Amino acid sequence: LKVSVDLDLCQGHAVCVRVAPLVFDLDEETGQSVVRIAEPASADLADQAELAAEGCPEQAIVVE
Amino acid sequence: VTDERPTCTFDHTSAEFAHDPWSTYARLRCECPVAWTESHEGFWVLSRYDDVYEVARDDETFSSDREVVIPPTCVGKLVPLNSDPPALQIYRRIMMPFFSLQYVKGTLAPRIADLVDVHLDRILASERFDLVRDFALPIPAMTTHELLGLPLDEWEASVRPVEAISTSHAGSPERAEALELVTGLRARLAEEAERRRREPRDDLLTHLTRARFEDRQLRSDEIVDMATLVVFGGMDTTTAAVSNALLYLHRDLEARSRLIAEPELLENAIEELLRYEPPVQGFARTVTRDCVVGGRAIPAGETIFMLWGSANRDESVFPDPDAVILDRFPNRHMAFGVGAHRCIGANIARAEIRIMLGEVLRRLPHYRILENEMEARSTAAISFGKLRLPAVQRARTAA
Repeated sequence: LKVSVDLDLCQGHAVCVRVAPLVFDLDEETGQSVVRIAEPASADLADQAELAAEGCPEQAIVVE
Repeated sequence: VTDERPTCTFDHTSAEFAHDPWSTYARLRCECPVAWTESHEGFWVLSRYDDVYEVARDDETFSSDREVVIPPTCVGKLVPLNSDPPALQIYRRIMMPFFSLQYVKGTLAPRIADLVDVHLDRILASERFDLVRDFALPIPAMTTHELLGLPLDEWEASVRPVEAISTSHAGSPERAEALELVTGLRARLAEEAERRRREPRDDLLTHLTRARFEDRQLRSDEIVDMATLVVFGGMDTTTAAVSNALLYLHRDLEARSRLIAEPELLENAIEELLRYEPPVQGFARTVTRDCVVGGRAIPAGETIFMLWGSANRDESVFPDPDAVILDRFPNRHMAFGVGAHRCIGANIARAEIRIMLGEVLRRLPHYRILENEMEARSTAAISFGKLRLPAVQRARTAA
């Protein structure tokens, strides 16, 4: 599983930070999402990352 | 693609609309999702989620350079609400340090919590109170003053012009008076910004006086346009959101009990309440080139109105859209807009709403609103919320 954020799309809604606080963080300067764990190993974190992708209002999160 | 102009009667400034926009939205989405109205010199109305999403995401075709409120308020330029890319992103980047999640969590939230405490202490000491005038109105206004670095006890001077604009109709004597108040607000912000140049402090106004737009300093007029936006964006909107949520939880006691029992639901519930009744029902864009939206040809120069409030009730995106489902997820609502113009104050608004609602549910769990005394707005053209919510601490029991 590989998690990434399309920064052309991310507008800093912070849904991902709420749903998957260990996987995502917000960049203080840009307000955009930053991936902290690009390849979550545990099933828990992977589920959270998928949820974050599903909930992203800009559909900016790619989980592949 | 069709050149047809399906005409509907749509006037979002009317009292009927302010009372119930939802039935109009449902009819538009079903019968005429891209509709033309002759109201206010004519504009297109978008009611479906996908069409609103597409327009909000395309700032090249759909400009914010002219006013985004219909009919125009004439309050002057608000930056970056009325900025197009690339200036939009430059302004946002300048502002971001005072709107980031970190700043809100670390600096603003504790101050918001103090304000909420003080106001609830006062409310708990009185038999009757007004959940808007004594709570939902002062706290966002004072928080905005805190952010800008304006004296907290002068919040009413800032909220007055904002409320006067949003409750008045374009062209009315009340609007003319409101515009004079806005002129006064802008003058005061200009004066304060000048003072910050001489005596810098740790606040947003000082930050703006030092900020650079590429290789130059921000001009004074830009600083005032930005500070005015912060005042307009930070006060009426959050007040409306909290008033809507408190009224909803007054009527739906089951939802209230559940939130009291499961406070961890609050964050999702707030998103859901924002979806259900967003404080800003819609914003406009100006079409910069001939384009097609939802299968209709729209010529350059015309105005499009994006209904966030209707997109939020679109049945093709939100199952059971007219129900409040506290743990709804995903919830890609557009209460803060979407795309590059998305509300820059969303982190602040969320913190305010979370602390305000959370503390009301904790300290004032049995509040009852006196519905026959509440005062609604006569227009939802700018914000959708209540003006007065007289309330008591608990339902009166028979003596």
